[in-house]
Amino acid sequence: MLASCLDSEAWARHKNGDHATAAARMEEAYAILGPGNDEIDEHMALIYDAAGMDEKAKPIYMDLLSHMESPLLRGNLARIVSDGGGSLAEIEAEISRRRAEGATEAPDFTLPTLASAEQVSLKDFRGRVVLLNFWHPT
Amino acid sequence: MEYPHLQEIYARRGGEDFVILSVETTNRPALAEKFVAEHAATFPVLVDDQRQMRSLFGLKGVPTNLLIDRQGKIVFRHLGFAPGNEKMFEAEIDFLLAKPEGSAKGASLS
Repeated sequence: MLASCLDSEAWARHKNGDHATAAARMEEAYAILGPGNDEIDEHMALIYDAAGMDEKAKPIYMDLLSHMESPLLRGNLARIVSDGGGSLAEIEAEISRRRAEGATEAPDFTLPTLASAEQVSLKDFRGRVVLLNFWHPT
Repeated sequence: MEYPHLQEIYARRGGEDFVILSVETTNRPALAEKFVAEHAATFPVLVDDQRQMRSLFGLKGVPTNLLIDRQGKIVFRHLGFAPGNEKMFEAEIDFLLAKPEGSAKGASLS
């Protein structure tokens, strides 16, 4: 709970333009939670970025983009890399490499459709991009 | 709730290159049918009649959304859904669609 309070305060300071205090609060939250929570990681990176701490923002942007896509984060990272005179192509290759490394084979399954009880297998859709959604009715 | 957004994405992009498969994980077809009808979902909805998906995919909860590339690899994985996540899904779909078949190289950063 303490960490989420720190995160909220940091985000409010950030929105008010007090980036240095925001970064300090956010670091406290980060010290408790550690990396791995997408929302917290995103806040940390955006706050570092706004505070001009590019070298600290960059690896967090990289980590996030290794397992998710975000036009905002991608754009920010591209700006930091360009400003620092770095190579966009190298960064892009690194993200693609990490994504390929983190990708795992989807296990195949066969299930009936709700509409007709016709059987559908995941492998029937090989060659297409698939958004596989798991849910339950509330 | 992600269903209205999924339907929008599917209406725009569903076809030879992209599909949405939605799995109801608790095997309650009557409730599921009502829900799917309410949201006028046109993508395939499947029923986990043996309740095997949780362990097969190591699901930590629902909703979980997985983005799978053309080679059958899970590239992006998201637990939970917050407003705005649909934009992330669309960006991820674009990334995977732009990825040439049989290559790990992705879309351009800039």
